[in-house]
Amino acid sequence: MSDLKRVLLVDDEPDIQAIAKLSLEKVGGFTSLICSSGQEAIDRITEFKPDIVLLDVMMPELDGPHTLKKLQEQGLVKEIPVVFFTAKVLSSEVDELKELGAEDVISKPFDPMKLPSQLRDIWSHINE
Amino acid sequence: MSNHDVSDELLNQIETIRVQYKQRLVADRRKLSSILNGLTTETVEQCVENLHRILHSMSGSAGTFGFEDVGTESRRIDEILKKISTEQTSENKNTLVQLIKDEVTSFCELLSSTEILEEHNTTQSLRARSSKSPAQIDTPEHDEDIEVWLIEEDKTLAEQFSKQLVNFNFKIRTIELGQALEEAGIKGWPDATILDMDGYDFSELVDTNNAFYVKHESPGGLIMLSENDDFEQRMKAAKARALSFMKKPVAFPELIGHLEVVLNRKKVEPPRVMLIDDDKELCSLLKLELESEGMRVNILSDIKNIIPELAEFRPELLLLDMEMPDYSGIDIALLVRQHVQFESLPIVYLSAEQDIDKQAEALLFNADDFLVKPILYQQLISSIRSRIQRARVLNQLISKDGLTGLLKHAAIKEQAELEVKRAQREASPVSIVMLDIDHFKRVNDTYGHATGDTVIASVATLLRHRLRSTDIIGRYGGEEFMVILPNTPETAAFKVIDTIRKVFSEMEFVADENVFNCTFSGGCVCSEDFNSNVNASELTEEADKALYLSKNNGRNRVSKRVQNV
Repeated sequence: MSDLKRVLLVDDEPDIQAIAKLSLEKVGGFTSLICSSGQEAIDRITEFKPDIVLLDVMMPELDGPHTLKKLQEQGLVKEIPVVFFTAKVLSSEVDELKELGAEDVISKPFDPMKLPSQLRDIWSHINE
Repeated sequence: MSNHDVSDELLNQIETIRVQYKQRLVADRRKLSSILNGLTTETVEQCVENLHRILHSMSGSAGTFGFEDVGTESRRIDEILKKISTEQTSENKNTLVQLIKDEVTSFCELLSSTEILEEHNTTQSLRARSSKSPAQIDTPEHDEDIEVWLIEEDKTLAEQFSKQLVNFNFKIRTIELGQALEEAGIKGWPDATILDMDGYDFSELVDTNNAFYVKHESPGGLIMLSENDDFEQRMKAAKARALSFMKKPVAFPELIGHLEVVLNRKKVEPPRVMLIDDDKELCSLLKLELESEGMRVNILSDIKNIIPELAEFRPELLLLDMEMPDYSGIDIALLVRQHVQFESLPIVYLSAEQDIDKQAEALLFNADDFLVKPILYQQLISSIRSRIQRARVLNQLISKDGLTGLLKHAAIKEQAELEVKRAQREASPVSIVMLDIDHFKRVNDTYGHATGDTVIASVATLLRHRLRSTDIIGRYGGEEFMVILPNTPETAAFKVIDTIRKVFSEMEFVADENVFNCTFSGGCVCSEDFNSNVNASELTEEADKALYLSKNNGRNRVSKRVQNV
């Protein structure tokens, strides 16, 4: 199985963007692209070719679930696993998100030192 | 890469972002309070939605930045709000409103009591613009002091520099390099640092990979001096992140010029935005959002009073709702543009209009940008920032004098009119001062135009540093200056200008091998000594008369209003 190298993160909050970028690049050693909105992710996913997408659930305009729906409809994530990134923690909500076609859910708040290993765990789980 | 290798550097970077996040918490607390203020049984649904947005985002982020309490508590309240909005509760609306008020109020208290907020408030109050009265200008310890560190081995030179720099109201501290590094590591660098490279081993500053650099910022506003002006030396200065390099011996006025440049890079005036929208709730949210980005925002209170309010606040950008009940955005934009002084004021429309043709039509009518509601804050903020930035560059070119950075003739006259009108409205005194450098032609003829320019620039710098930020300074003509002091009676204005005159007369200028002094004369009048309808050009004329009285009485003096006998 190939290594996890490229991560596309979609989140509208600048503070989260900044810290997640540090975490992904400095701790995880990944190449990352940070998008501020669902639409930006849709526009740039083909050019960036991520291995995995980390998608915030609550965003203005196009939220996470709708972004995922659009990505699926346009065939942009056929071979790319999408992981939701959310402050929702109820297991029923997690299940609902998975039903939409997400590979997994990473809960917020996240520990910037641990986020990369969480992603690697999900990645190896998928490739088992 | 293992966690261990990067953790130190990373933790530092995280700390930087954490500091930004703290500021966001402060802004969020203000938003929460403002929503609570508008919470009634009629608005409860909308308020719950707005509170949910803020609290939900906080619950997802606060923990990441180390504010676990805030994260847990915001999550708990957010759960309550979610229940309220999704479940049909049997509670009546009054009970709900009270419940939300209690919960959110105690949450706001938690936010305030979190030590972080106090920290932030301290820095904010430090940054707050001073409203000191002119009488306070001579006291060295006021909050707009610009701190300058002087790292200079040569004691005589150090003494000379600090003696002169104090005249410009800089707070000077002569300090050893070792101690400077140590203190900077703890409290950060001052506004500017002057470092004489000769006689110092400053390898620690130059080696950007060393422990100091990894941990701390590079010096703010660093000016380096050296006898050696070669590539190697300049490269060392560049590596130490110096913004400026000067070859010794250093002519003092030139040093002041370099300091100005260095300080100006750091000094960014907060952008001023005027907001016109009939949706009061949106207005206050926008105001909070923009203010949390460091902008100053005014909401227009009465549309009929738009021109005076614009003149008063002097916004750098107008944010205008397209669709309002009585007047459209286009109507208002056209009305504003009828006034010459607002011809170049950037206007950005806010609108729910999705129709591209209609947007294009609106842009034809005098607007600079068109943002569609619901507004994306990031987009709004970058749109505002970029327009103001560009307007400032243009404005600088149009209205500021290249040599002194002061307002040009036309611009200062315009300001004088505005300030005199404002003083009349507020029934407050405004003083107008005219200054003229004595025997300036002689300076030019004897020492050349370059030296003459240095003298002019020195007067400008001295005025800028000795006057309040609310005072307005312009270059009226070649060697003639105009100063407007709002809210200042004649006696106070006279005292301030006369002190500056004394300081200037003691400044030493160097041209070739010659050391010489310069002086200026001044005339000072105040609106309150004339009838209440006096206008700016009449006051200017009176100040000119007083100036010529000073010239006739032997120069190097300031005179008050000439009484007609």
